[in-house]
Amino acid sequence: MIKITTKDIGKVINVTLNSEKKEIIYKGNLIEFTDEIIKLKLIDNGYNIGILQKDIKKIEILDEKVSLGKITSKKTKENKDLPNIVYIGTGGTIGTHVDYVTGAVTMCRTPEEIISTTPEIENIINIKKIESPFIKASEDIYYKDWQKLSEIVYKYLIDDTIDGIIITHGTDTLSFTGSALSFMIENINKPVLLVGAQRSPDRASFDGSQNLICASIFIKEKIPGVFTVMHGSINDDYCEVINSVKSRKMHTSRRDAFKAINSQAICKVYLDGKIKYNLDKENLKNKNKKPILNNFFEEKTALIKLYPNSDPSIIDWYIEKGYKGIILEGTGLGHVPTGQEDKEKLPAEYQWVLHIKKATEKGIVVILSSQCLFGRVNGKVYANLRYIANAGGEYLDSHDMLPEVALIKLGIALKKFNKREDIINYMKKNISGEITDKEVPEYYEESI
Amino acid sequence: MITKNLDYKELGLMCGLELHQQLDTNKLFCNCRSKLIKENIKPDKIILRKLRAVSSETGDFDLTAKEEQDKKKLFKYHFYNSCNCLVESDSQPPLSINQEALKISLIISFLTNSSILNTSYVMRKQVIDGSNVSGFQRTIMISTDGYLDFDFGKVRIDKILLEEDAARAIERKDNEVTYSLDRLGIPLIELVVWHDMHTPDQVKQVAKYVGQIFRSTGKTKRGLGSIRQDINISIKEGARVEIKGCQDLESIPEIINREIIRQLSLIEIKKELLNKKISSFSLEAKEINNIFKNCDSKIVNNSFKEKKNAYLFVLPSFKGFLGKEIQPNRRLGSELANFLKIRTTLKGLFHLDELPNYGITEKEINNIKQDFSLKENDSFIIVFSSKEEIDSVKMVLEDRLNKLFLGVLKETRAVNLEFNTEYQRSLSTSSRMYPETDLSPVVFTKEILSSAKKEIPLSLNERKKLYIEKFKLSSQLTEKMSLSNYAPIFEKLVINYKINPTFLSVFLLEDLISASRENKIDLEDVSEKILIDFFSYKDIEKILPKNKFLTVFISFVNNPSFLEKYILENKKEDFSENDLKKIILDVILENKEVVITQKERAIGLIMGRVMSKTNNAFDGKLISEIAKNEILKILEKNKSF
Repeated sequence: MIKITTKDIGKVINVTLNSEKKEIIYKGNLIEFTDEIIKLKLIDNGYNIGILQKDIKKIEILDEKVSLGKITSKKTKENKDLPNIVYIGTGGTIGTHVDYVTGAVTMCRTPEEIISTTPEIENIINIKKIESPFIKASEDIYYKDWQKLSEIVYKYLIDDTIDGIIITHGTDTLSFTGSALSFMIENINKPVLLVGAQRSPDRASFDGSQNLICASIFIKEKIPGVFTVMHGSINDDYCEVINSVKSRKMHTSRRDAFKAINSQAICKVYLDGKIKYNLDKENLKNKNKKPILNNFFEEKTALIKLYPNSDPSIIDWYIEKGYKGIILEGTGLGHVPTGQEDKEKLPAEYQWVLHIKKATEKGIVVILSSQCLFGRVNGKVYANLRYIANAGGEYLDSHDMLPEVALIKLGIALKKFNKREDIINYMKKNISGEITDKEVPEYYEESI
Repeated sequence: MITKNLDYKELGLMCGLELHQQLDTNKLFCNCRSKLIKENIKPDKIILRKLRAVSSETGDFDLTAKEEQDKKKLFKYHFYNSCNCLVESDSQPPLSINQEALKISLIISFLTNSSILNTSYVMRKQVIDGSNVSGFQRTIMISTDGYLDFDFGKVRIDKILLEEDAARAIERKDNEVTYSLDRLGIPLIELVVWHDMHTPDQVKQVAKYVGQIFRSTGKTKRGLGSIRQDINISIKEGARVEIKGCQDLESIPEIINREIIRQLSLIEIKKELLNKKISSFSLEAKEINNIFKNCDSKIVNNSFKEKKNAYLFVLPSFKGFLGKEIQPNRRLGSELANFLKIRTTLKGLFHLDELPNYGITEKEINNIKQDFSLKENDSFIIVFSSKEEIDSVKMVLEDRLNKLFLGVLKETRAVNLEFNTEYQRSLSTSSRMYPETDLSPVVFTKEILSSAKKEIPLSLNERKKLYIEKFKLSSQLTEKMSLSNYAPIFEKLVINYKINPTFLSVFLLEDLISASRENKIDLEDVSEKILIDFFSYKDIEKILPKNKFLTVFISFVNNPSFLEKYILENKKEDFSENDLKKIILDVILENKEVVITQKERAIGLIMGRVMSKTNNAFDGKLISEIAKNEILKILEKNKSF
């Protein structure tokens, strides 16, 4: 009997089974095999099946070839009348490719390949330049990637021939990257749009196309800032443009996973080109300042979530590891278990006050945020909170920053300033719309 | 037209079959109920989506005008919270495959002697007509190489697949299709029968038998549309044509015969064209708006209003061909028009053989003949098209006319109301399939196979024997019950719960059906669990009067706690007045002390106890009278001590 080897993968083979009553032969393209099982894609009907080696009577390797699917790639054409953009591909679902034979999903689409999924954007914008600093699933992105990306973005922000930047990105940490860009580059003077997809491009129901089209439409508005442009509803009708520092992925799988938190989308962009603003467009326009790149990042910055029974000695571990800043994601208004005011005292090993105190004494900046996400923290409502403030935990005068946004902002502040006071002042100050000065009912009611 | 009896052997008729049967389990890739929504029920949400043509493997985006239009189509999906979730709206990855549906497909594989695969992968089959929100249908191969024996010979089963049913189209407009999502995701068994059938009757016989196998599992859906058959037909000199959507067994022979006639007619036309030395068509579109300047035809004038032009295609020496009947009441012209409708945005065409008609008069026809100096045996086609689309209209018409030289074409056709068939699409050689990336492979382990084996239902003959000999059913009820998909549950109820077989079969086959006809009950709600819960109620047959069964059952289906309540409330029939007297006496004796100390005042306590013991079956007045009497008797007795 012929034994198959790894050289035969991709070849067409006939597999005859050990069957008593009738002869059964499967003709298929050999996908892979182990000592136990071989996997075929059947030639007649395209189904993938697995056959146990022990059930096989005979294998015949045929001299036939099958044509495999290949990804298309688009050469961009130039149209001088349209806004010029730079397209930056960084990976993510929007840049995945399914191997049509094995079903393996790989992150391998080049920017040209992504553009080929949505050729109509070339009637809206002129892609002047394509960049791809890295191609990653977004959960693998770390601060050095933000630094690389911010350098490229900065390069084109100061290039007068460019009107805007579109970045395709995995959705999981898209808002983190958006925040990093917002704080690493001051005075952003052009639209920098982050676009992702919740359905992969192999499907006819690929949602990334609409997101790309709406982002392209929005470029001509010349509104500076870092924005997330994703589906605004479960329908394929419009995208919302949300300030990235106020956007958060709130659903694991829906197209409209991104919502504005403690804020509103600045506008809705419809597929037919219509744009409906929620905020006054004129206030969003450029103030003509020059962009400044300052992309240092303190990697020893942590985000800790508080919960009943949480062990405060985790802070000691961070102290030991040399951390410089900690964002605590507290309950409610920004609460942390202190056990100070209750009649029935919380056992000492669950009390956070002493540990926070120890951290601040070591020079670590500890800032409170809320796991409610919506609303502001407040350190003055309950007596318990004063113990945290006394221990050095910062409530920053009732800020409404998302915990993840506070984390990135702190990472940047820790490198930008030396003095604790300067760091705190920077954290208190609204840099990129991450701290709003007021909240109206719609922010919450229309968000979810 | 050929009307003589068809000699199938002489014709070399070969037919294959594809049967699609919905299963009565939850949906294939989520936990939603497989329930169809009744008409006129408002959806909980309407979801709007678009699908994109995915570039072909060679990277082409070259689309016909029609395909361009399809690309812009808006799909409206009616979403019902009762039978949909985010999975059907393509907003959540699929959950793992429904195990019950998998088991039923294994049972059907066993019953058709098919070889079950060891490992199989859920595949995505691309579908972009909107009927699948995701743009693909999920499908998995279960088994291959089966067979069934018939008196006319062995029929091979090519393969058995398990797939998700598509969404149900409820309204089609030019740029918009509305689908109901209720049907999307219902498990569908597809059984493919090899083309081993050689007469229409054999096809009917096989379809009927396979249908019986499906139903014998007791886990199939009932009602129109729950089973659908596609038939493959070819004859000598013809080609394989797939006919979709035959829902009714009885119409199968008629559909096949009409298709044979169509194929024979096309073969004949091909020969006639050769005889007339016509060897190809080369069309040229001529704009003829001026011909219709003063025409009264509504169709013509409406077309002009829509900014369409009239175009003429001259067909030399073609007179009479387009008017040829190729199927009863269907002409070659209709075939061409139907093709044009599918491939372009046009609604149809006019041809000389059917004119004058539709408000187009002899005058216009003569003008055309004169203006273009047509010969006596020349023919023509008139279409109303936009300037932009006329080139593709020309291409489509020319292509189809030139294919007349090939005779019959391999294609997929749909059955219309007269059992003729209409062009649907060209026969896709192999649709684009790739593995579903969100699911793990299905492995048919020994454990899974043996648990399915245990549930293999009785064969039809075994069933009949059991019903007649053991259950003592009449031959008429046996015939009906053995073919019903209630059969497995019927057997379970008779054997395990000792329900009277005749009573139960009348209840299932007649009472329920007529109640459903009167809209008193939705048969979709009558699940196996409901039936078992109801009939397993202790002594149900003794407690419940026969004439109350159906009404109580109907209420039970809607509210399972109803049965308990009903039985308690109606228990009084079990107590006679004599029983009551005895119960009262017992209660008094149990509470003798109280009676002696409290005397007549004890009546309240006694009454309360009695009423609860008799489930409030008696009038309070009656109890009070008897109780008073008995208390007095006791007190009297006590005095004497």
